[in-house]
Amino acid sequence: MGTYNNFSNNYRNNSFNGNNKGEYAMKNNCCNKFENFDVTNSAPRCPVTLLVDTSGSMSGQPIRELNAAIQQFVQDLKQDEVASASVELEIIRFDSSADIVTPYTAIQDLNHVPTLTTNGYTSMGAGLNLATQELNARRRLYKSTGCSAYKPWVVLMTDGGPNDNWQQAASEMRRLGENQKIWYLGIEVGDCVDHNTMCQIMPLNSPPVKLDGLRFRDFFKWLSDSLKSVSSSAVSEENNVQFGAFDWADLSGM
Amino acid sequence: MWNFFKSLANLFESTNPQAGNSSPAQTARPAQPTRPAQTAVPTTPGKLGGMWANNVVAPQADDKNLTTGGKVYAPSGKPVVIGSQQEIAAGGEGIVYECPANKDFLIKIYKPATRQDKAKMSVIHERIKAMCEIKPLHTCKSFAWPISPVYADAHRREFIGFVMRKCSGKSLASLRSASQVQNLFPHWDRKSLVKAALDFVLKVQVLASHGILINDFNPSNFLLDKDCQVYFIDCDSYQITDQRGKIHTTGTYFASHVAPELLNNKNALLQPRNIHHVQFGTALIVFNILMYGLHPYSYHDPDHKSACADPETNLRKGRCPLGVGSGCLLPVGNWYNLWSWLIHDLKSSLIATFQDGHSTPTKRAGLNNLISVLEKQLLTMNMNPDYCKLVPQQKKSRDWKGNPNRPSSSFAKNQTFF
Repeated sequence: MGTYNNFSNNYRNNSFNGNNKGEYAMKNNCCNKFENFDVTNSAPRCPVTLLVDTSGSMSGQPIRELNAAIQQFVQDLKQDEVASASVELEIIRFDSSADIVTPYTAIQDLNHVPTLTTNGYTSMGAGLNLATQELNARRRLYKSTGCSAYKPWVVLMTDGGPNDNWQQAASEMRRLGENQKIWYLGIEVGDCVDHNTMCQIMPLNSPPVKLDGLRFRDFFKWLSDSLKSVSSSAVSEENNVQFGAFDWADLSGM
Repeated sequence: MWNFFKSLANLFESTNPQAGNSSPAQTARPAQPTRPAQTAVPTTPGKLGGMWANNVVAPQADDKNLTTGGKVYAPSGKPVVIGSQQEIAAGGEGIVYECPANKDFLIKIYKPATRQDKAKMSVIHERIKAMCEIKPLHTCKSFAWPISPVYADAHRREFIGFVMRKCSGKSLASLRSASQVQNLFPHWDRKSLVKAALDFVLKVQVLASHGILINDFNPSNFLLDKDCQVYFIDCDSYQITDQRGKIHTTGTYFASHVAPELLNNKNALLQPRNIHHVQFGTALIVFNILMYGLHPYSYHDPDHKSACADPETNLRKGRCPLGVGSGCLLPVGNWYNLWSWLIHDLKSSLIATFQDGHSTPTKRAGLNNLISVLEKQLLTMNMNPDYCKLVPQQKKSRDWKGNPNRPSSSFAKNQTFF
């Protein structure tokens, strides 16, 4: 968290943002790498937020499958030299509180993904709040450094319903989704999800989708394939990129 | 009886009796652009809508006879076994397979959804045949050039794909930073990048000499190897003029790498390209190679943040950051240092193309000019190793006098570029 806070404060306070007209690079050679943001990487960035429920009910096989799937996801993207330079992954967990497990980091620079553990309740509102702040800060960072970026991806995964005050926290992310400023996916795991609340959290144009069993690996394979397609497209054409079928989803209830 | 595989090129010599009787030159009917695709269908119609409706595609049924282990047929009617699928080549309209009969070649087979569009397949067939007629390119290892159409049966009733030369290397799109260059090619310095850029322009010129114009400058369409050779791998990237003078277009383009007069007029994208469009795209790729994938319209003015937009918007509007000193508005990072170590003539050619040439195509650097200035850059690098650093720690100042121990200019003149 210390690393994250330093990094986060750096760009939130715009402390690096001096006069960078031409001469900037010469004056600031020591600053070619902001923490977790490599300004010498010319790739347009594709920020991906995994907002995952690690409450007690996810313990056992679900969290094991999820951890394995995330590791596979990262390795899969690492194999793709284009996507690994573009995709910046952030993992936020929410249980009794919300924490950043992995701050936004380009996949090519991501050396370790911590194993998620389960604990306590479902502070989804806190998670959404944190994810929104992080996303907005990241977008400001791109803007202030002249880095072009694709539409961010946000994946919210839960097997229950929020135990905290989620309404306010959910509204901004929902608005971003409804305005098609982000690719927003709500994934319901298992049969105990508070579907009605999830429908209120998610934008109308992207209702929650139920994962078929514990097919996390299939979902993350789909996600990595989609991100590979996006990162090999021109930024202005990303809305025309085709993604594979939702084979990982249980669409029977839709 | 299988000895004919020893010479695959001979095998694919067309025996189509109609091959030499095509209609005389006529006005080309442009193909519909294949990128971006416009035919997405929701996975489960009526269930997935909203933001995913136009992007999530229904799974396509495999054609059991036209996948690994199946057979396609050469124009001669002889069967060719389909090998394993190429991992990175399942996108777009077709799937690429190994050709077990000759590992130097690959087989591209169009997907069933593409093959259902008979009119489109007819246009593709004509274009592929025109490409196959350009024999000198059959033996060029730098181009994944079609050497023969293939058919679903021995009687050539259905055109389904083609055989092409296999090329391998690292995608140009993966060159995104000095560290990535070092990872991919550990022994490279910046001179290697200039050699690669020069090789690229020389090959564009080879194509142009055969009347072939590149219309899709997607960096993913080009591969690099450790010897600084560039390989051209996308057969849909070319506009071909056949032996009868007919122009075969594909309409494909990569939005961030297309001349502004085309980008600002989508109808123009479907019209035949000219050499000025090629000059613009070529200069853009040269800039990409020399600047680790940076886009020449990556404009960043900290005093006018609201005016900073993504490169494609800047490309449309002609907002180019290139210049010298404080007039150069490249993004935060080492980019200005990198730019400063390019020689004046090379920078001038690039500025002419992206600034003056933005609105006046005739002011763009020609292919010969680009070749000349890249050769000069190499000569300068041979004389001054400071120019060769992948990560220059400082910009080249105006009073920089060069390495005092550098070889004399007469020595440099005797150097070869490679």
